[in-house]
Amino acid sequence: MSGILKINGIEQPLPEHANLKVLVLEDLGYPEKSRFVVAVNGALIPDTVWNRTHLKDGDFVDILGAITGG
Amino acid sequence: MADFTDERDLLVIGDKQIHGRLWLGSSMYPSPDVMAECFSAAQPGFITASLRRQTAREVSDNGHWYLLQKYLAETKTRLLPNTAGCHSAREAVQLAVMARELFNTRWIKLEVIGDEYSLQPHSLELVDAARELVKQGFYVLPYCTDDLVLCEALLHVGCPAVMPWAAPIGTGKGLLNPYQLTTLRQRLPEAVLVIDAGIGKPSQAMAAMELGFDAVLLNTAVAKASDPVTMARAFSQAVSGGRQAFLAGTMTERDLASPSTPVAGLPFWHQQSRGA
Repeated sequence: MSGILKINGIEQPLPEHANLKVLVLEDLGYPEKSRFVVAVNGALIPDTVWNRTHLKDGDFVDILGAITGG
Repeated sequence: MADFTDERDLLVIGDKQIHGRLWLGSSMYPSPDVMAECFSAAQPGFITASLRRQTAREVSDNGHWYLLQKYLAETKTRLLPNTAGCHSAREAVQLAVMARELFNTRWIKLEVIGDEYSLQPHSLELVDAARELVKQGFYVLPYCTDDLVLCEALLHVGCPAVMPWAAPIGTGKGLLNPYQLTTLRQRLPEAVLVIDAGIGKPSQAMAAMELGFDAVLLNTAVAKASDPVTMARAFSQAVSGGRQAFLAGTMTERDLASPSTPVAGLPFWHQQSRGA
């Protein structure tokens, strides 16, 4: 499989496994126990279904964490 | 710090009690420790936060968030995530849904910006977003202008409170339109009204509370003070004082002077003037 993802606005190759959980926790190294949320094409993907979420060419992946705000 | 909390004067929004009428933002403090000290000094009812794209490292190393979580866990203060930076109802709803998941709360400070220069809210998109989020079970607290019809529309779609600006965000100009804010209070006597944005000094927060607003939300005025912790305490006392003044009922303003000290029985001067 080949293709492009946009992860937090930056283009990256779509990995062979195309699996959201593997991408986030293993490829990108986000810490499992920390607080962050993931959206694909603007829709929230609960962590309970990351393992069943398969990415495709052109998908937008956003990974958001807490920041300060007013 | 003196505690002016009156247990009979509860602030309830929706079906939830809010334990403080000063609400603080969590941004722009000199350090996480100073931020936490400000929270302790002010004991805010809500603390606002937000969410943004982050790398794995940023997620792991987040001192502000760590201390904010710790403060929330030890107090009755509630977290109020915002949708800052959104320019459409669709964006705001998406971000609110993600905030609910991230922060595990149904509270949302709804921001939909319509003008980048003044950061004025987009009234039409704001109402659309509020309607959808209320439908999804959120407690929506919208940042809005002081437009009476807009505030009525937001309440009508189910917002449990509205949060009109005093002045544009970060300006510190205070209550730019006291007439309109007074009108809001008079025309919406049952609504929970919170001043959000534009407050620069404790006296301005106090003035808002004297008008009968239920709470004040601010960030820059504390975070950017020379001594943020002392300023947080000053705001806390001002908000409390303003609330007490509103409940006590201020005197009616008069155009003519009227002596405070009784005139009857005053010696000397009547006789002197008659004898002259």
